[in-house]
Amino acid sequence: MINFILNNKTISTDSPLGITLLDFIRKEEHLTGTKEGCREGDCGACTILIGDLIDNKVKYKSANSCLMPLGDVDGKHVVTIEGINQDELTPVQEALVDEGGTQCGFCTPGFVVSLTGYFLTHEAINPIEAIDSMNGNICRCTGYAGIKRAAIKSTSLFNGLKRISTEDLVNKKFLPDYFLEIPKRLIELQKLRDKSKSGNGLPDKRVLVSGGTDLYVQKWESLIDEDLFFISDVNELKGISIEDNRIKIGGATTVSEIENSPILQQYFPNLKNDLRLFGSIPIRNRATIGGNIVNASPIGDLTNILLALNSTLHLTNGKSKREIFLKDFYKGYKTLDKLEDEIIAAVSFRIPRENSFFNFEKVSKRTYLDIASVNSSMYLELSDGIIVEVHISAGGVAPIPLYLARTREFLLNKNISDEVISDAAEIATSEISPISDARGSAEYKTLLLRQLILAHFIKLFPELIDIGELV
Amino acid sequence: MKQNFSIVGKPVIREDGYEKVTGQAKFADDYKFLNQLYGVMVRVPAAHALIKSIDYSALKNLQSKIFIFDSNDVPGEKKIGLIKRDQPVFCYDKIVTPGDVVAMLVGEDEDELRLLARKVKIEFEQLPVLSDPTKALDKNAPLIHPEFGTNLIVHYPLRKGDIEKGFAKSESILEETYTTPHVEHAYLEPECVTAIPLEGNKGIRILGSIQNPFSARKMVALALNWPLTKVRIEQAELGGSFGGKDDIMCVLSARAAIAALKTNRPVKIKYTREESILESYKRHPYIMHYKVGYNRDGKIKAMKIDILADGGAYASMTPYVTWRTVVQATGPYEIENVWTDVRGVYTNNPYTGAMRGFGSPQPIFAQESIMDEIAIRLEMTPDEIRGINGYHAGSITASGQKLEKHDVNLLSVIGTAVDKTNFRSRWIENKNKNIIKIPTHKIKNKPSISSLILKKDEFIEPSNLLRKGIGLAASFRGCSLGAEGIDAAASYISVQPDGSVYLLCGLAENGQGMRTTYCIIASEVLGISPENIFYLEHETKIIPDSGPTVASRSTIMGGASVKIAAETIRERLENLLYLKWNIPPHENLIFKNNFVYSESDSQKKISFPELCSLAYGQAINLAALGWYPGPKVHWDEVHGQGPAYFTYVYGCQVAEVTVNIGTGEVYVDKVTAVHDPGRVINLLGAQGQVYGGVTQGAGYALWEEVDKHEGFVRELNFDQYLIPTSKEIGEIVPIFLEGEDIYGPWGGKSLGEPTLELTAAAINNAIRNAVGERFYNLPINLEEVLLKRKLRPEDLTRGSS
Ligand SMILES: Cc1cc2nc3c(=O)[nH]c(=O)nc-3n(C[C@H](O)[C@H](O)[C@H](O)COP(=O)(O)OP(=O)(O)OC[C@H]3O[C@@H](n4cnc5c(N)ncnc54)[C@H](O)[C@@H]3O)c2cc1C
Ligand code: FES
Ligand code: FES
Repeated sequence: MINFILNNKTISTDSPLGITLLDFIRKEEHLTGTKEGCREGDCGACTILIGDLIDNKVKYKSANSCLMPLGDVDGKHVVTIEGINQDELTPVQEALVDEGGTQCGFCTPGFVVSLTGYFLTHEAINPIEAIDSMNGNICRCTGYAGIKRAAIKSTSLFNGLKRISTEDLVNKKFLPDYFLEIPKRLIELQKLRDKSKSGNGLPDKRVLVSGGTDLYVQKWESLIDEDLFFISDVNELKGISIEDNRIKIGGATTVSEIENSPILQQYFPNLKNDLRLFGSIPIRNRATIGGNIVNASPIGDLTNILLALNSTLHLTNGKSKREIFLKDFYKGYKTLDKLEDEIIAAVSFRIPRENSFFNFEKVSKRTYLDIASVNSSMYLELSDGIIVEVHISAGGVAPIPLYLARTREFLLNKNISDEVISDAAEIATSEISPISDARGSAEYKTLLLRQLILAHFIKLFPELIDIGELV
Repeated sequence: MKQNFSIVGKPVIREDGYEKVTGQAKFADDYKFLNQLYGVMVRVPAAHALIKSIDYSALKNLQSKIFIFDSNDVPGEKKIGLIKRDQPVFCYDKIVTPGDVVAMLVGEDEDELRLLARKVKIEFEQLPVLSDPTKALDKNAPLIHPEFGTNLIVHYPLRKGDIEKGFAKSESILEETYTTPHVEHAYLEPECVTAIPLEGNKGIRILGSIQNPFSARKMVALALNWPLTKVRIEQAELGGSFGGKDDIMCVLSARAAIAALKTNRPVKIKYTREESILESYKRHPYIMHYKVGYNRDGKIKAMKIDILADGGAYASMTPYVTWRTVVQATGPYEIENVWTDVRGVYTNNPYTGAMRGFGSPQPIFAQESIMDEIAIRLEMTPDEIRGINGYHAGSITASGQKLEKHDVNLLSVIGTAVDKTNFRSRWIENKNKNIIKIPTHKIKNKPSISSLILKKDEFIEPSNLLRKGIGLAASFRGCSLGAEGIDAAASYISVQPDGSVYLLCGLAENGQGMRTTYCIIASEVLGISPENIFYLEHETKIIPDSGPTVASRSTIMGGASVKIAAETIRERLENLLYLKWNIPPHENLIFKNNFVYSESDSQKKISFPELCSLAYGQAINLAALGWYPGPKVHWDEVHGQGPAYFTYVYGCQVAEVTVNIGTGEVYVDKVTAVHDPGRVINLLGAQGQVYGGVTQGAGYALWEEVDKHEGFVRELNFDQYLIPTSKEIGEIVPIFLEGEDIYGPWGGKSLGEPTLELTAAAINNAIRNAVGERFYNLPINLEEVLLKRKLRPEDLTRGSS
């Protein structure tokens, strides 16, 4: 039995925890404003908002309900389009109508929810971010022009306002007033939460679900009757901290949390920008670092980045613990050095030293909301112009997320020169074994990897490289 | 002829906007019926196979009650089809493409049915698969439908002038081949339909995501062997269609109807995205050979065109789609000598049918690319060469039709587009700058990986990585169905005693906003606000068959019929007022702002509701049916000559792109779309058509492709089938140049399809301008740009290289 608030209604349900929130909303609650367009996180027609109590405040985020297990909303507030509707159109809705932001209308509730969610999750409003908040929503009819204008128009209501609160949103009719009571109601509700879920010791033989953004794409049907263990709320598995000169990221930390982490922003100022190429906002709100690693997709973006940081995995089965280098974790296509009962408690890597450099490159068929054809990351330390440490990863060019060991060996203790870079790129392409698939032919991927290796150096050391010489 | 409109041409918000932004609009899957069952399909994992036997024994002794339906349960025609009856409701002797369905399981739990469907054992014998359309007409090619004795679905010749003489007189000849891929409509709402048996022998009600209710009615009646009257098709709110929810919905409606009648319970069929992409039809892939003879002065003397369209497993709309192609294949250019052959053939690939553009985006991609190539060879600018050859008033088309009775605005739309974008100087500037070639590698059959590495001298400077390009494309397009079909539309209007109005047109709302357009037209005639109009749900039982909602005919045909209906009412009201006010007939009465008054005497004034109440009191008929039959058109099948369409629209788009020649990525920075759609009825709606059409066209240019491997589709969901997101396309600028026309409501014509058909060609020309190389195959994705090959394991038929 779980309890949560769906819009303004408290729900207690015995439905299987593995069904998707989308099915629960549409089939059991008959709220049909939330649509099903793809069931794999790629269209946004099913977008909802999830509010969770953090320090007695409700923090909202958008999510794809088609990939969200019902069990994961225990003690939370779920908002669908019906929970935003009021007697009159909200400013967001009105702007969409006025600006021609809807045609067939099938995508429209998803856009309304995403955009309304933007106001609910940001204290400072700006039009570009508002448009960005809809990057997980696809529309086939409108060409987005009216939708973008509507986003700009609805932000204009907050011009000059530094911080906006839920009260402001209720006053301006963006939200119905029941939102004001939600914090109190969630506090009551969370008292009912099943305590066995959090922390000490891992329950046996259950399927582990983190963000579900891989699991529910791959096999949602078989998850319905499974005994599932939800880790996305397990506090011990979350958070980003510094311990012993290492940055440690909990296994259930989401991509959004990584993007917004002050620690990571301090050491990796470009990371936030890099991660904008990861899925969409609702996907990033759910996708976790542990899931990305264990899913073992050769093009996983976080895995690619972590490989170049020479990360260590902290595995546990609740009783014993073990550490292993990420680069040693992958044994073959989707085979891992991991026992069935082990989970990734955390990932850690050394704080970048002084005079160190990091760069991430990703090329995909479609620039946004697409997985990479090839991706690559590089971490490099210099001392007196000499490469004293370097790690390079390559994704999409082998059955596993690849760590380029020979390229590293070659680069160590060398000066950065055109010759060296060019040779390194050549060595990199000899370490890979790409296959031809929907993301590109083997030949193209080989060519692309070489370009990306060169791109790392061109981006990081423009002054050291004489392109003329390199060619 | 300047008219003073009260509402026509202004931006009007959608009449259904409220329902849509609140999520209250009800799409097909949002309806739920008491005792409703689900239908789930059983398929064969093959592209071409004989069905030996179907074994349902795994479904015996289940706890839940499962009904099984296959071809034996079809009471009427086993095969249906809107043009050719070649598509089985359920396949019985063989399957001809992987989407084919041999049976349907019906029961209460959809998820359970999906698992059970996999347990049905089908014994089948694989037949040779025909996937390459160029082999379809070979002597030893496997026959997809042996009963026809050939894989040829249709062949349209067009002969004008003397082609051989034309080439002999040409100073230069250019020959090129272009190809385009299968494209998925990717309407955001997957197919869904529910059939509800009606009590008391009243027939069946079918409610679904149906683009063309009258087509579905015809097909269901055929499959049931029932009169049309007993099949009631109701359109739910349609979550996008773009031509795509026609044939597929006919078949699904028939399946649902058969099951509903047998079980006597409502049966819903709802497709997942995967099933939708697997079974639904696509845009035709074309292979297009063009041979063009031209002179140094830029005049094109002769054009020989040979086009092969992959029709896939079923004929569907292939005969109509390819007919539009043959009419428009030369592009909007006056050419003395033309020899065109367009063929559509069967293969085991997914079947192909109607999709926004309908046989025009493909030839435009080829012909507009070639026009630029000729311009470049003659050191002309793209607009110059089009200026020399483009249609003007009185021009004779390839099919021998004289363009008259409307503004032939081709050169004006091109001129406007060129001026607004400062096209010429930018085109020349880019062309001169972008002389460094993209490093490409010849890929041999068995490439050794190391040979693909860029040589040192092929490395590109970062500052040179991003190249700017600008390109244009122009077209003419025949409005409505033309000589390809029966062309007429009906509208029903019923004014109530309080002045509120019911309105319904026989053409269906597909999301494009035509209900709003119709409300505007009726409002304009009656001088009332669109809010006073209540648009009725589309149902086949209450409105005459108006043909399909295709060919951008909603405004020109449906709109004209609404205008006629509204004018009929207006005339009756006017007659009443002439009597009442005792003024001579034909004195001008003004209908405006919910009032009616005499132009000469403003004392004579009455509110619209009062007038209606008065009329009602005098037993005046306030309901009318507007009927608009399309003007006569004609086609000579043997020579491909005749006035194909009764009128045409013109458009020109300019695309601006940035190409990353390091990775092959293309960014669309801006598209300026200049169109003459005739009279613009709703400015907001018209602009929406442009934004949407251009964005779809950009997807066609750069990403969209359904790759069929031995008939099997790989891109079954949106993770692989990539359509543009909100971040992909830069600014889109719609500009309308309203030409006069005697047809349509106040000369209102077509816009929906013209907006899409030009974009891919314009983008290709812009890429050419940016990188100095021509691309011959859509989509122009990363790998095409970088390596001149497709992101696919093996190269199928390709264009020039
Ligand atoms: C639309 C869409 C876009 C995407 N775009 C990208 C992209 O751009 N780049 C990219 O890299 N990925 C992308 N992904 C893939 C996916 O989001 C990521 O791989 C994500 O990080 C997976 O995390 P999760 O928490 O959702 O995993 P889940 O689906 O919850 O789990 C995946 C697997 O990992 C296991 N698992 C999860 N956490 C742990 C743990 N702590 N210890 C042990 N096992 C664990 C689960 O049991 C399961 O087997 C996309 C996915 C979708 C649907
Ligand atoms: S249904 Fe498409 S993202 Fe969920
Ligand atoms: S309005 Fe149709 S998909 Fe957006």
